[in-house]
Amino acid sequence: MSAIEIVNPLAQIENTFNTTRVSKIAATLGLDYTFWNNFKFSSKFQINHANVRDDIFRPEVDYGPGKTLNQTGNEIVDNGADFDDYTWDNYLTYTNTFNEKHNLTVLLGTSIFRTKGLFYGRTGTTDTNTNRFGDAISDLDGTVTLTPRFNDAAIAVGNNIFDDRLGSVFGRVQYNYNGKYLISVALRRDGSSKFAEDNRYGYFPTGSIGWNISDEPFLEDSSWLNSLKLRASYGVIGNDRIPSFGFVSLLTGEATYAPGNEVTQDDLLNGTAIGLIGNPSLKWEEQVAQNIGFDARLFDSKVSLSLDLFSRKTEDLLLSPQASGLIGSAAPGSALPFVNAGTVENKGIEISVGYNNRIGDDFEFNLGFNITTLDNKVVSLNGNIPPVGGEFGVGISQTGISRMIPGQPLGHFYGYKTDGIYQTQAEINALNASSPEGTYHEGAAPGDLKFVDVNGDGEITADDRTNIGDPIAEVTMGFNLGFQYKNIDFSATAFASIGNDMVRDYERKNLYANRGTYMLERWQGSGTSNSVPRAVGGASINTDLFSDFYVEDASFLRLQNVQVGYTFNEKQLEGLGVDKLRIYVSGNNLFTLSDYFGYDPSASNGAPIGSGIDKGFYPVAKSYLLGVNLNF
Amino acid sequence: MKNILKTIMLVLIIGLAACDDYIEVDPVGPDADDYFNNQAEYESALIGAYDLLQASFWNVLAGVVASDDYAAGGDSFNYDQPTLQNINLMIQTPADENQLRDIWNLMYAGINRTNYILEFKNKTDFAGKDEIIAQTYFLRAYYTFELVKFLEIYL
Repeated sequence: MSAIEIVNPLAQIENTFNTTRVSKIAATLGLDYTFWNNFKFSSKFQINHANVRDDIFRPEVDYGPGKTLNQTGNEIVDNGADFDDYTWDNYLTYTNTFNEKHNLTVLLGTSIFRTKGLFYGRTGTTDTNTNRFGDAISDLDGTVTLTPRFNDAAIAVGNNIFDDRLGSVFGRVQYNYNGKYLISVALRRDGSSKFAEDNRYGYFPTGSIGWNISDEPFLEDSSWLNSLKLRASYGVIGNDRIPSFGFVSLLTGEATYAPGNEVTQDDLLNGTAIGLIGNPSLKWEEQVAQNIGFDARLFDSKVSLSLDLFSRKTEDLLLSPQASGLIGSAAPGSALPFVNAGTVENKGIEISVGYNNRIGDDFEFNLGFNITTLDNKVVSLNGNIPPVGGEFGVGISQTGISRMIPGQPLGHFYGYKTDGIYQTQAEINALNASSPEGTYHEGAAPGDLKFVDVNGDGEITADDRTNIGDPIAEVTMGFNLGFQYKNIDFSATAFASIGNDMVRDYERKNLYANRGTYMLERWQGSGTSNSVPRAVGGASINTDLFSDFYVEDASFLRLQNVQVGYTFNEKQLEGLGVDKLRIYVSGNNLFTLSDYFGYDPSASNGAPIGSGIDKGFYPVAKSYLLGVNLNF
Repeated sequence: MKNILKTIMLVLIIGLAACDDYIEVDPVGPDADDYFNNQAEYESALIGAYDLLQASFWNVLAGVVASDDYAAGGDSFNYDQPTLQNINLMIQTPADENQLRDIWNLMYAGINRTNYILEFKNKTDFAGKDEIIAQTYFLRAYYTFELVKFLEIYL
């Protein structure tokens, strides 16, 4: 009588046969035409095509009584998809220099983008053992029941295709005086097929100014300063990354009724129902970026330094928050509408420092370091109700554990704060005595997590939930190191993220399922542990309620890449008809230092609300490459 | 030279003008506001409204274990359907809202689908429409009744 969805993972791997084949082709056709000396017309057409085929074989398998992963009869799935995108850019550039010092560039252009996809496939099942892995569906004619991936009703409402388009018109003016004072102003008008006609177009201006101070007479002869540039910019960019037709309710919902006497697929009754619920007032999300900073090179250009103060404000953030079932979106094939939720601000400083030098004739090296601080905060909401998202719990889930609340980081985790473990019943009795209802915390027993009474009303209720961490890193850092000694070259890059929290949410509550080794340190009697609660089966405040016991600091340092190469001398290559030969060994993702207990501290689903919840992400693989660069 | 210039100007002008038409994409199939034009579409939407009856097995499960007639069974220590066990013992908390949340969501989804038909009940006339509308009213009443059985709702 163990939980019905747990099976031996090795057996699961042995019985999984998935093959995905991807074929891609890309082409670009360009044309430049210069006339009247200063004018240039450019046209560029780009096309990408990809075909993806998935072959899945699911053999008949019995993992035990009542297991949900049991497979009755063999099943073959043959799914495919075609993706195509086209970009066509046309622009006219005017470049001129007046009085040898005034440099002007004016650009005017249009751009069209289209991306479309077609999905198809079929599933064949049989209750005989005639098919083996490697059999194609066509080999099984007559012995299998074939089910198309999309039935006629789904194709009639376009569930098997997508087609999104973007059209832009843009202009840009760049002017500089003798390369010393630079100014650039641009405006673009983007139109997206993802918004209703009234909100389809967005106007996005950008502007920047720059000053090459090192070209000024008072710094021109500086012995230590090779270059110094001050710059400032302001810009707005639009974002339309949401599903197609979010502005209208389409009849793409699932409405299949099994009348009870069905024999084949054709006997099912297919009706119509609303799919994704439309929000006609959807509009462009706008990111307003402001930046001020400088770039400098010092001491014979051995040292480079750049500093930026930035603020990126995302207005009308597009997302699909969880909402009440009253909206009626729980039906199959339906989904909650996307909304323009509010404004979020990211502020910070970005510093990067580099140093390169040469020692002797044979040794050359470079070092680089960059650091970015990030302060993320929700500024305001479009509406009164804070959007929620995210889910916690394997099997038994709680929704709305991530929230968007003004003044707090976007998508912060919302749950109970804990302060150790109840060690004795006397401790609980004392709290009950001072509680207004006589029960401080319903269901608490010695060995359970001690929740903090955040609002101070003398009892633990849902109102005591608060911000218990957020998935956004406060500081990120990058390191790189490289050197060249005679024929040998070496490079290494590392990345660090500090202050990002992660919810440990890949463990079942079932006591017979595997748990982390930290469970060995659990509370087993007064004074045994003040951090890991007792093991308890069934309902428990420890496992049923989302608390900071499950939120971990997922800061990490990762060695992303190390490469060692050897380049052969020209002499060694003489007579081989080879101009250059280099062999190298490269390792990616070699190690990660982190206190995070799960597999991958960098895993995230990227959702604005609901990211940083680790449901057992497949970790980034470690990879080693042996390579040869050959030039003829 | 002049011909090439003319071509360039033409491409730019067409580009500017065609742009707006190009990004006008019509969805495949009707949108929800442009439906109920004939009997078949009313019947099709009615199948959609019936669909959620198939989800009411949750109601039966939760209903029988809440009654004195059945026990949820299973092993509470081993997390075998703990939320049903909690309903059985009448100790469900907001955290183990699985079945009750599903009932709430799915029955309101059913009500939503019936309301969709009723919103357009006067759009197109045909013989036998009264029967379809009557079935729709019945389904809405039934979904509402299922909700009232379990939860406090605003009627």
